[in-house]
Amino acid sequence: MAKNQRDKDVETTESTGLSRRGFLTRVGVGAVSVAAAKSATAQPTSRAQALPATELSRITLNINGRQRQVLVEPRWTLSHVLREELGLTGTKVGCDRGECGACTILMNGVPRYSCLTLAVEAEGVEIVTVEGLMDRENLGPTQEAFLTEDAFQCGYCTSGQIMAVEGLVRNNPDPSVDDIRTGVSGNLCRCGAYAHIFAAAQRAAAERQGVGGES
Amino acid sequence: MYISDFRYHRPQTLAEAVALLETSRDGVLLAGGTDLLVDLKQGKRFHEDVISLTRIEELHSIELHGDSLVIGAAVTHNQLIHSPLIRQSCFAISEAAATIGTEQIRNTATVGGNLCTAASCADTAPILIALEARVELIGGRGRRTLALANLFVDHRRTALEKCEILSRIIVPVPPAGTGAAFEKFGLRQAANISVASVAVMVRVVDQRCERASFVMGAVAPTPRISGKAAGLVEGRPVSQVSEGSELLERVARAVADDAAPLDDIRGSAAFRREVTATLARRAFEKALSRAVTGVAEGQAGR
Ligand SMILES: Cc1cc2nc3c(=O)[nH]c(=O)nc-3n(C[C@H](O)[C@H](O)[C@H](O)COP(=O)(O)OP(=O)(O)OC[C@H]3O[C@@H](n4cnc5c(N)ncnc54)[C@H](O)[C@@H]3O)c2cc1C
Ligand code: FES
Ligand code: FES
Repeated sequence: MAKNQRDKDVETTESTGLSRRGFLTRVGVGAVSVAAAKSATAQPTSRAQALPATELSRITLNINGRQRQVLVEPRWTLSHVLREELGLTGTKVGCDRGECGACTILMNGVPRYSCLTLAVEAEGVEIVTVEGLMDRENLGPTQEAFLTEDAFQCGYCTSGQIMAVEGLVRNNPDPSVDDIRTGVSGNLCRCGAYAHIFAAAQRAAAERQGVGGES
Repeated sequence: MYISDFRYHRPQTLAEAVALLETSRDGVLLAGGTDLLVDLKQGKRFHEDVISLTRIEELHSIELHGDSLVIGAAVTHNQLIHSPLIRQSCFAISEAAATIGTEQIRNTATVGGNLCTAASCADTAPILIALEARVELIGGRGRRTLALANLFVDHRRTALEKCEILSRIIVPVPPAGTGAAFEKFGLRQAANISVASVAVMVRVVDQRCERASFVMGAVAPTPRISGKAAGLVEGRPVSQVSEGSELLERVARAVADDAAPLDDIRGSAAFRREVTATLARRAFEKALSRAVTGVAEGQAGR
């Protein structure tokens, strides 16, 4: 196949807006992109947002259902901002490089590592941390399931495990054991509480379906 | 972990992103960040400008255009896995994406980032090359497309020019009678970096293998195509290359012969070569059965 060959069929792409578990909850991003692809040399317009390197910029994060205004540097990770700026210390940091899962949170309903996400990238995204699973002073069903199944020892990995399980059961109401293994495979437990974590995940799924509680 | 200062840009169009790359001294694109942020944290790279792709809408869609599947560069691995369009027309792409990282990584990392990092072990590359994908690159001088195989220049080096963006991946929808599969071997089940991987595409017409493609990952600086193996298969009746046949054994060895593996912490070169032969056999058997039956197990998905 020749290099530089032009591909005529794809020149007229239109976005059909196929769902992508989306980032784009903010306004103003619709139709402009298609036109832009056709004139890739056009000058940038004021729509591009830029944040300076060494100053604090004000951003708005939607965390646990509340809009939080916070001053950040672009280089700060979301885990840093949650813990150090907003005092949401339920989110833990273990490896700080995407290997352990302690920092797991939900972004638009799916689990992600907050240590591998810049806070500025999380603007316009629905963020849920382990604190957000509480109903006032009461534990949410997934948290309750971890307690009932004794699914932790030291507890350091636990909030990340809970968020991974919460993400799993929200998207898959009746997970198989394999689904559970896959769902929490991004979360290491140095204490090795895995068997209890799997049991907690099963219980959490059952609770959500309203059939749990006994046994 | 410390990340050094950078300016952060959030363009909404490709044109803005290209212009930002052109005006910045050392601007870098940020997609999912699962490679870039790790490098920044480890102090392996520094950039004055980080240009986010998250708000460029067209990079996030998966569409069918005529007989091509068009995948935006910022589509995540989990989108590849769950897309009904991809599962129906090119199931093996979903299959490959499902082997990557962990749930959190698959919700974050993108196919464009995977290709542009150009690690030899990138798991989306072999299957996309086997399916004869092309990539569209957009830069200051306009757009060009090239065969995905030609994007890879060396381990972590691509043919992208300084101010170019990979905008989308164009995969011809395989005609009926085509089967494809991806097999990888790593040292564990999750967050499992490939020690070796093989993607196979085979097209069967009238019980004959009309066309075949074998592409290896992690056993050379770039994804590697085995021309020898394809040559052995093309033109042969299906019966000659079926499971357990002597010819299939020769095909698997041919793939392994075309590998150029290295010794490293994940395995010796000799081990990688052996594993490659086994993966090639398995992937071919699976692809052939899919070509013949028209069904890929697990295709229905959730
Ligand atoms: C725990 C863990 C496990 C992993 N497991 C696997 C695995 O099993 N298999 C595997 O293949 N990989 C794996 N990876 C690597 C990584 O997740 C993938 O390569 C991922 O697809 C990178 O995509 P990204 O969007 O995060 O890239 P980013 O980090 O955002 O970008 C990577 C590079 O590509 C450039 N880039 C991104 N998009 C474009 C574009 N559209 N045009 C031009 N340049 C661009 C960026 O500037 C950057 O240099 C793993 C990573 C981690 C942290
Ligand atoms: S702290 Fe984020 S994955 Fe370990
Ligand atoms: S309970 Fe200690 S690390 Fe999991």
